[in-house]
Amino acid sequence: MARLLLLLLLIPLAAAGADCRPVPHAMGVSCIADQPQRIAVLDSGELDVVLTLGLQPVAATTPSHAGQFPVYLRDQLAPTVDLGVPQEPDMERLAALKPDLILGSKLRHGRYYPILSSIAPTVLSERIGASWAENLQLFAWALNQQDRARRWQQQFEQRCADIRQLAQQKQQPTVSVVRSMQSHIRLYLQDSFVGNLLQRCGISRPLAQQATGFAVRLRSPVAIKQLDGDILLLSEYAVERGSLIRRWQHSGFWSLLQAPASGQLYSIEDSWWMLGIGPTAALRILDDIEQVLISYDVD
Amino acid sequence: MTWTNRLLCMAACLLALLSPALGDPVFSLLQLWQFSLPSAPPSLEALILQELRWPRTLVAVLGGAALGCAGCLLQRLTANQLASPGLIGINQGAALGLVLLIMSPLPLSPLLSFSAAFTGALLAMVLVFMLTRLSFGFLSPEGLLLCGALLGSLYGALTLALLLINQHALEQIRFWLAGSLSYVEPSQLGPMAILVISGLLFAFALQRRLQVLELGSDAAHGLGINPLHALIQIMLVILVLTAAAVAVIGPILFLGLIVPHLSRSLWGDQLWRQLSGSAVLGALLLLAADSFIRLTPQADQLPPSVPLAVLGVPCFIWLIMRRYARES
Repeated sequence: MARLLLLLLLIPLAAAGADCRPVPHAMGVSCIADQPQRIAVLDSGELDVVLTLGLQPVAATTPSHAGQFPVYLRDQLAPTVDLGVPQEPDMERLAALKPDLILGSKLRHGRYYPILSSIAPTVLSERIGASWAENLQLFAWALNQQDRARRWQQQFEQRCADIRQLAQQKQQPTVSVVRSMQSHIRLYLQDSFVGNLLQRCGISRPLAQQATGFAVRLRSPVAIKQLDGDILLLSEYAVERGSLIRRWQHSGFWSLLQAPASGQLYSIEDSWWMLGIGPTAALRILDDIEQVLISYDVD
Repeated sequence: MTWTNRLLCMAACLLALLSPALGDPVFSLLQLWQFSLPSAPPSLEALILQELRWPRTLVAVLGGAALGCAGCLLQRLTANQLASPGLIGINQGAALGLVLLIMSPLPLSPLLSFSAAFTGALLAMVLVFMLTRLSFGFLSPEGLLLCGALLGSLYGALTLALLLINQHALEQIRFWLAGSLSYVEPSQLGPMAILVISGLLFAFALQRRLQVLELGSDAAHGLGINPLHALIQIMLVILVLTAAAVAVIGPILFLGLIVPHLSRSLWGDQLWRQLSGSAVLGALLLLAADSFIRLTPQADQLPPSVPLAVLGVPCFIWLIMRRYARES
C-alpha cells in the first residue's frame, strides 16, 4: 500500500512539464511519448509483444545460440538492427539508433538500467517467462496499445477454453515438455513460460513436472523416467551444435520410456515453444497442443 | 612383494569390482551381481550398471593407470621430480584439437572428438620435438621440458581465445576441461583401452632402455643403445598414454605429478617397482575419487580433480614433510 502511495506521488512528479505518459515499471517510473516510434527490445519476449501489438521495433537482440531472430517472427519482422545477445546488448549501437522507448526485464537488464534510461525512456518488466501475460499488459501500456492487448487477451481466452475442453474430452493425458540442450536436458516447471501457459489452459503434466520452480536439469539418463508422460513433446535447442537427447536415444535407457514406444513422441519447434516467451508464441503453442490432442486416442 | 604392495593391489582390485555399486542409487552386492550379468532383464538398474557404472569404472582404471605411468616415465626420463605430462603441452594440445573440432562444421561424434583430442596432442608434441631440435640443436629431456612448457602455454592461450570468441564451444567443453568421468561414451572405450593397454605394455618393455638412459648417453652408446632413439620411443609411449587418457577424461593434472612420488616413497627407486606402483596407484586414486563423487549430490558436475586435490594435496605435503624430517 505504501508503495502504491509512493507511486501515486511520483507519477505527477515524473510527468511534470513533459509531453509524455508516466509508466510505472520494475525500476521506477518512466515518461513515455504518446506514440513511441522508435522502439528497441532487449529480449525475444519483448520482441514478440511488440509484433503481436502490430508495431515494428527498430532494434532487437538475438538469442545467444540461435544467432538469429526467432524463426516464427521472421515473416512479420521488417529489417531490424541486431543488438547481439539479450544478456549483453550492444549499448553503442543502441544509442546510435536514438530509440524513444526501450523494453526489457529487470531480471536480465536491471543492472543496465542507468545506461538504458540515459539513452531513452526504458520500461522493464520484473521477470520474464512465467510472467508473460502481465508483461503483455505492462508493455501494452508503455506502447499505448491497450485496446489491441485487450482484444488479443479475449482471443487467447477463447483458444485456451477450447484447449481445456479438448483435453477434458481426451481424459486429461499428461503432457511432458522436454528441451534438449548441448550438455543437459531441461524439464520446464510451473514458473516457466511453457509451464505457466499449459497450466492456464488446463493441460495436465506428469508428476515429475508439476513442481513449482523454473526447470529441472538432468545430465545423466539415470532419471530418464522423469521425461515420460502420456504425450512427450521434445524440443531441441540449436541441434547443429549438439543435443544431449540424441545420445540418450541411442542408449538402452530410451527403451524405458512409454511415450515413444506408444507413438506419442512429438518433435516441437524450439523457436516458439522455448525462445519466444511472448503472446504470439503462446498462440502457436496452443495450435500445436490442439493438433497433438486431436490425434491422441484414449484407450 | 611387500605387504603394502599387496594391500594396495588388493584394494585397487576390490574397489574396481565394488565401485559400480556406489552412487545414486547404491546397489547391494547381490544386486550388483544380478544386474551386471548380460542376461539380466532390461531394467533401469541393469542399464545403470551396464551402460554407465561399469564403463565409468573401466575408464577410471585405464585413465588413472595411464596418467600415473606416463608421469613416472617422464619424471625418470627428465630426472625432474616436477615434470608431469601436463607440463609438456600434451593436455593443451588435446584441448586445442577438441576446440577446433567443435568450431569446425564437422559433426561432433564421440569417436571424432576422441580422434581430435588425440591428434591435437600428437601434433602438439611433434611441434615440441621440432622446436627443441631447432633451438637446442639436439633432443634432450631438459630441452623437451622447456619447449613443451613454452608451447603448452601458447596452445593454452589459443584455446582460451577461441573459447572466448565462441561461447557455445565453451559450454560444450566445460566439463571436459575440468576433467570428468560423468558420461563415458561407449564408442570411446575401445580405442582408449587399446591405446592405454599397448602403451602400458610398451612402457614396461622399454624399462631397460630408460635405465640405460639414466646412466647417461655415453653409457648408452657403450651398451649399444642409441640414446636418441630410446628417448623418442619413451616420449612416444608417454604421449600415447597421456593423450588416450586425456582425450576421454579430460586433463586431470594431479595424477601425473603426484602418483610417481607416492609410488616411490612407498616402494623405492627401483624403476620396475615405481612404474608398476604408479600404474596401480593412479588407477586406485582416480577410481576412489570418482566413487566418492558419485556419492555426493553433485555427482554429475563435480570433477574428480577436486577431491583428488582437496584430499591429495595435504597428504602429499605430509609426505614431503616426513621425508625431509627423516633426511635432516
